[in-house]
Amino acid sequence: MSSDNSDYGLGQVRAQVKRVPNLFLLDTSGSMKKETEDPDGNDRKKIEQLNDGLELFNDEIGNDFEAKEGVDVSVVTFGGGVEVEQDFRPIKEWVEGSGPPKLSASGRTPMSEAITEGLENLKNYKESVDNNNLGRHRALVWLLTDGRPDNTNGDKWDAAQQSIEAFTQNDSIFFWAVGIGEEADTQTLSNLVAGCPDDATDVFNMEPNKFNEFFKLASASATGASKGEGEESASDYSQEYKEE
Amino acid sequence: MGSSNEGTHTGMDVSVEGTTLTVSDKIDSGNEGAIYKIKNTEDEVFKIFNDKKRSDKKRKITAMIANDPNHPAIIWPQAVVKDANTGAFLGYQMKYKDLDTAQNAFEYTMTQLSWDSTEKSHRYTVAKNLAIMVSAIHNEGHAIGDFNHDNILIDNNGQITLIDCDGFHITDGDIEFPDDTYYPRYAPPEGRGGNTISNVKEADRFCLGVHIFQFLMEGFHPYHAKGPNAENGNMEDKLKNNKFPYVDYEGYNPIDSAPSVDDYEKKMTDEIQSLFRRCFTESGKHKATENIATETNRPNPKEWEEALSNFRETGDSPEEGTSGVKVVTPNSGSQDESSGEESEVSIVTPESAGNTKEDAGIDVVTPNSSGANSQEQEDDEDEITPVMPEDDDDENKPMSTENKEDNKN
Repeated sequence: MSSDNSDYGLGQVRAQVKRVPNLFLLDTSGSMKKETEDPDGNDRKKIEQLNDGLELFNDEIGNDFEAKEGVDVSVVTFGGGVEVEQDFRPIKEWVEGSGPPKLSASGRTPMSEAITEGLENLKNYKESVDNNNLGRHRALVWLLTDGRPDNTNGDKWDAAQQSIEAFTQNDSIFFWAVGIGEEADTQTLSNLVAGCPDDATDVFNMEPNKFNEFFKLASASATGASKGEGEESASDYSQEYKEE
Repeated sequence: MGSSNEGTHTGMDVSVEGTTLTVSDKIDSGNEGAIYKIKNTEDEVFKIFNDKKRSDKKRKITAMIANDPNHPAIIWPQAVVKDANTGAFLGYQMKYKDLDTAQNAFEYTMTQLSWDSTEKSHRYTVAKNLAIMVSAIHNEGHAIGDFNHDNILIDNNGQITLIDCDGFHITDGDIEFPDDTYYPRYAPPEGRGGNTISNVKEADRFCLGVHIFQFLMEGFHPYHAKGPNAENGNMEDKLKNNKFPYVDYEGYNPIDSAPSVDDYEKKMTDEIQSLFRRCFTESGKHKATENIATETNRPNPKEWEEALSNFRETGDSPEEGTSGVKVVTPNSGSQDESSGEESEVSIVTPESAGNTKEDAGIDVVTPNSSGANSQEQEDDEDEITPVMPEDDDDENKPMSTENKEDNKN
């Protein structure tokens, strides 16, 4: 979308700081229009809470020098169709610009296609990072859904599974599949990553109003990664939040 | 961030060396505990460990208090803090320093130490001050290990403060209190290298070299390289697999946005370049074995301290880069000092041996250069020895030396 040039904004970054690719695969299907009680006790549409969460992510990253300089963020949504809201760009453009995109909800849940497309984008972006001789951290990929995907078998499902397996098997990504609310189908998410190395993935469920917690976890993980704290498994990052 | 589910200790009475004090507001919290103000006290704060950390830390903190490096900018435990009622260990008291506006060493380097906006003296002084602190810690029998730039804070006057020292490797007589954290960006290929004080000190020497390189090189990492043999991917892989691109290794060059080899040679004194070679060429990068020649050993903090004291503030003018002008300090007095830093490695000769070999024919060494000041510089060090300029093609010498060194490996 916003790729005004083909180098993902990498020509302008400080090369001293390594890149931390952060891919959000976000459910924006019709069910996200439903209201739930937010942490303040007000009924709000889930999609609005999701947008607030992205803002929170942006703010948290903006508070840390290395994360602000190093995180590259991509947002792919699945609601009706698959939309690449943003291909990988330095998050500094959000932090110092107009912030994250405002997402809206509608339609079905083409999760598999979003996964495949998001990871394909990641592959191209990584090549660009390498061509620019920049350091990079293992990518952090966050799948968030409040329901179940359109397909849980068939070609599209298989393609998504195989993509995640390929990226996790060569240590290119950590992949978190997070269900939010009671209707989220965590078993399907577990099936999605069943063929992946255990340490590269983590699947869990969060309470319906925990969008903020999800994005706090994502921002803490991205900040930790940009500092190179050397976590060795996906659950090293998410452990603490799952316990809460 | 972190799980601060520990509850607060604000308002609690504690006992410090027999005196009862009251815990005031929490000002920070981390994975292991939280920092609190002390009621009616401005100059000190408490660190109170989380419950499950206390038994681990109790003896270590006691050992730290008994073996204090006594450096004003190293925030070291000063006294044990106990529960006033039960006498149970809670944490320690330490000096309070307002570091809210300080930046970590990496951020500071990138935002405050660019070559365009700073004097060489400033960069060298910041780097030297870190070396002095590492010296103080090593001399007291400890090592750092977790040489994370988040623990090295620099305020807007350029003053360095070292924090979170209770994660260091501490010794008290024969007893060691190791820690297993390390920070991949700075750690040598062997990591902390094991759990003995000498291993961790050796790792520290490498870490210190990387920090100093970053201070002097606008934050660039010594193994960030491009070229046919250069590694893609994360910094740890680059560190492990790349060769130092500022010497003549085939297939490794500095990346485009980093200082060029020419600029590096212009900005760094020969002495500094020689220490970087000892630290980052293959022989220094890979852990020294027991009997390896001292000249390939990683420089110790004292050597950095001396090398970073010896520079000319001529605004980085081009002629400074000619390796003709250099400072050499082979007066035996200072070397005895440097060998005093470590007893397990005898570092009596690295400087003199290295210099005579590497800089042969470049430097004129006068043991007592009192006349130096009358010449083209006014550094306060009387060890500085200006030397005949050899502007022509100065690059060949370091290079040919380098090749020799490479062939040995």
